[in-house]
Amino acid sequence: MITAGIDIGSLTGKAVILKDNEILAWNLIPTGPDSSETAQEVTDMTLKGAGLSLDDMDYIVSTGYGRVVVPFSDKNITEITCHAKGAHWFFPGVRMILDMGGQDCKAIRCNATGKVTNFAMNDKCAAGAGRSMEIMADLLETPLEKMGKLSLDIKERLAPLSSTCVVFARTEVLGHLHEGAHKNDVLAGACEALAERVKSLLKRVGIEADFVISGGIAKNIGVVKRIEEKMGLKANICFEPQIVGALGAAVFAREILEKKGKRKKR
Amino acid sequence: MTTMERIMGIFDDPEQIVRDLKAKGKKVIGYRCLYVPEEIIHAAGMLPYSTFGTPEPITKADSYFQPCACEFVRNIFDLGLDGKFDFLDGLVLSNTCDAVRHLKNMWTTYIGSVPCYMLNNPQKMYDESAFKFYRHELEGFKKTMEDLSGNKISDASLRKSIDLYDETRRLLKELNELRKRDVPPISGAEALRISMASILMPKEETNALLLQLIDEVKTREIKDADGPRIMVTGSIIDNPTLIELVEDMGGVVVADDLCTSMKYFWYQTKPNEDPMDAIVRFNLERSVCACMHPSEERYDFLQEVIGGFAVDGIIYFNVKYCHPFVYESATFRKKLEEETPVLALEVDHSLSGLGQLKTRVQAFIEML
Repeated sequence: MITAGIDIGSLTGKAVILKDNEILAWNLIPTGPDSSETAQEVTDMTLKGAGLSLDDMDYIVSTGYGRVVVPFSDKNITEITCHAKGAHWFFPGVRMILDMGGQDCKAIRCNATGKVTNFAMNDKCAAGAGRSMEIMADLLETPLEKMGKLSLDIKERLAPLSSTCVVFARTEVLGHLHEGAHKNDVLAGACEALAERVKSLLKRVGIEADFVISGGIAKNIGVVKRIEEKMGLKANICFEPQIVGALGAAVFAREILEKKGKRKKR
Repeated sequence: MTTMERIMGIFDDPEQIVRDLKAKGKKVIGYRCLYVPEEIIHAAGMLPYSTFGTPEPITKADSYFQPCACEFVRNIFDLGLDGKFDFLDGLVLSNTCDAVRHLKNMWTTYIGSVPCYMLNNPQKMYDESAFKFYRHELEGFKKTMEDLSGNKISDASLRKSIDLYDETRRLLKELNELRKRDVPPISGAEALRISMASILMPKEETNALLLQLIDEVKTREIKDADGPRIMVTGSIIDNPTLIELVEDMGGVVVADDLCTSMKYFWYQTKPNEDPMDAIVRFNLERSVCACMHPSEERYDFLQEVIGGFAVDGIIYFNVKYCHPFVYESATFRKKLEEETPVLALEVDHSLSGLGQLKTRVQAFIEML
């Protein structure tokens, strides 16, 4: 059976196509102003990659903040539940997941089957999430993908950024730069602050050793290394941490079909 | 029109009650909160009228209060500044928290049109010296209500008022018991609307309507009762939208711990020869708010409701910035979680940012 998971996040739209238990194709694109268009686009691209059409899909589950506007989805499930499922698919021993997305961070605990048992999310604003890292990278004229590496090559250890508000954090960064601080040191301060906040979020749900990081910030080695140091744990990160939610959605789609015991007519 | 429709109509436009009664020359006394004995206001021949908030964003009050002040209090003050409570002949506040104490100060300073009275209720329960103090305080309150209305309050009239209010509480509780069924006859949002309308209406009318309503809904069943059974708790929730949000996400709200709903009618006065003492004991031997001490009684109440209504999960709605409930939920949560999953959420009284709230509620329901 062929199922799809579509994850429309605040910054990125992801799609994964699963044949039985094997990934056939996946894709990610920036989320545009029209979330359902983004869903259509990322799904079309992924289907094309697999040489399939929408009619070949037996069941589709949507997730992410745009989960309710995916026009062709059969069911929507929250990204919290899907990330646990996806992380469990990649790393079956996982008990704690940290999803660091564009607009928020989620600490999730799950049981041996990948079912959520507890979760916590950062509050409303995007402080300490992908969007704020983008703003920092932009301000320091550093490509986002290089940010983590540069932040590990520092001259002087600055205090972590103390402002949770991105707008204030910008002012703080400018202050450091005006005082002649090196760019890398400031980047380190931003990564350090994020790692610190994430740690308290994880503490809220209860720390577990079998640990997965998903979401875009999992690609930032500067943040990941610092989280690992603070927690004294090694994080498991899959080959593409941004598709974990979409993959979880596709796994749910398969499980729903198996439960129903029949193929859905589209 | 069904009784249900009639009650929903009153909820949507509660001031219709006031308009009619004011036209007949009746005085209306606004009050906040459950620690203001409505019975004394009623026995003086006036209508006690609970001042609930509105979901509209706060505008004028923000020039006076810092944004970190309790949103509910800012909302009430905003409505006061806007003249929305000008129909009141007086406003009685009770000494429950810093926010309300300062609302009194602000009200007296800036809103002269409606006189404001502060009733000082002690917060330590089951305490002889508190009983004595509160009795003295209530005598002063009674005198003030007599002067305001021009009517003397006799023991007999106060007794009659207490019986009337006890009957309202009894009927609401009887209706609420039906929510214990596997498929409840009323949704959580309906239950809150019924309770709030019942609190607002003159109790003579409330009681008649509730009798009809209980009969009317006896055979009713809500749709979509397959989801987990949820209890909602937290600080003042006077907007059914939040309950609707939980129900839209697939939860079945079967019970709550809200002063706008179950906490209003859960307890009855105990038999007492002296009606003033009956009120003293009623308010100092039940705990309907996180401001009261000791908090164990509220915890026991939660346990009773969780068992009685077969609750699968608890959602805490902490309205910004209600300190008593924020502190209390931090201590209760740990104990509650040992047996029942808890989701603690911080919400704006004006209900902004519902998108993120929806994700958390939906994920919690998926988890259950």
